[in-house]
Amino acid sequence: MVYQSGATPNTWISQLSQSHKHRFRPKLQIVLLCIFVVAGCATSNPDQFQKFVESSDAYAKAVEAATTEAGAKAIEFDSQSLVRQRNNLSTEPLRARILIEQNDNMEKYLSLLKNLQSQTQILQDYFKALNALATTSSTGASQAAENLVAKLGDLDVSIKTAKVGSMEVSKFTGAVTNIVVANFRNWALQKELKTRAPFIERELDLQQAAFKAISESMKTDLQGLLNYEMTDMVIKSYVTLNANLPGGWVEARKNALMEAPAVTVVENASRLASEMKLSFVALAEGRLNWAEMQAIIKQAQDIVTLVQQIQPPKPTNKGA
Amino acid sequence: MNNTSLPDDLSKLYLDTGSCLNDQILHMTSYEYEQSLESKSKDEKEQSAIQFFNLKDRRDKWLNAILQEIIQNLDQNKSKLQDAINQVNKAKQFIDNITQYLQAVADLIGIVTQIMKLAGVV
Repeated sequence: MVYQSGATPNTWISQLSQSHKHRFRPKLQIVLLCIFVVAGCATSNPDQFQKFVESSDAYAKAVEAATTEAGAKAIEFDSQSLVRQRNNLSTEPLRARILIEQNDNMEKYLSLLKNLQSQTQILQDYFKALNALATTSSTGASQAAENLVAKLGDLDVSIKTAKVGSMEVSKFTGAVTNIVVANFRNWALQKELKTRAPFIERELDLQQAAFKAISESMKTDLQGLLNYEMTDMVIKSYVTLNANLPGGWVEARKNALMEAPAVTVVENASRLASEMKLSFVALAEGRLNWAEMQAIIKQAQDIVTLVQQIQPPKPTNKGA
Repeated sequence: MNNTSLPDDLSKLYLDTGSCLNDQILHMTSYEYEQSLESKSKDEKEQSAIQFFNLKDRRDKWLNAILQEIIQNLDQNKSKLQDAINQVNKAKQFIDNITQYLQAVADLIGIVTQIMKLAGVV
């Protein structure tokens, strides 16, 4: 449209609003339909991200609990073995060599476990950043746009009262801003997921591999501890002639025979890493299953609870 | 180990080497094994203890080497992950900036309006 020369700002704002009033009215229903459809799409994702971040948070806690427990059991088996074999090592240099060697291995192992925990934390930070973007409210910008039009209205009342179809200009501007921002947010999220999904998948894959290795060794450490317990607390006291069985023998035998809960902890953590990976792929493809997310959170919480419930095995003092 | 095959290869490598060491260690912690040493000489008991710690040392070094390998791979990803976090934060910042910008313009128009009112223009 061509504005009349010499028109004041008040006049052309008025002309603009009147002109738009006529131009937009026939298309209003289509525009509003688009607004609601697009706005609807824009708000479907944030909940998924929020839930995914909740599950990744639970996962990070489970990783910390499981790796801490793995380190504790490794030291325990190491120390029990050193105690048990001490009398069989006849010279000081030999004892020193073996002890120092074992100390070095344990220190390195603990440092690697710590490193694994910090890697999980960085991954967690990434998921939190994604969630912050996903849940960024576009209503703030929408409100600011409405305010802007309202202030313009103070310059000319006509713009305040101007309508596009049946909708006030200020509301219309706010809604459009909302859609633009929400779409940008969705576009940024989708672009990010598209670019980074294979890389994040690989990251979780590596964590799963680390847990596999840790759980295999942890099984040996725990079974070794149980073997010592079986020998000292169960078999020897049972086979010794002319001696009464100690109190708690039945319980000690049960403990030595049953699978240690700590093994379950690391095995579950390994499975959890794999499920996190699958969930991330599902998130990236927009088909994240709500129930599966709940299951992951529950599994992660179970790992933490299990670690808290693990009681240290009774110490054996043979050879000390 | 290359980057794309590490997790798949790991279980095989570990089964082949790590499990073998773990089995031997476990065997030496059993009651039967300890009983078999009862009648042996002091030297033989010492040799058995040394063998146990040698096996355990190899197992521990093997586990540490595998974890080291995995963590090196994860470390290589660390900077990429940090870049990703920055990108996502930038996008969020952009949205926040739009809001601030619109609000600032609205505030400015409010001030201009007040001045114009005082000047009797509106």
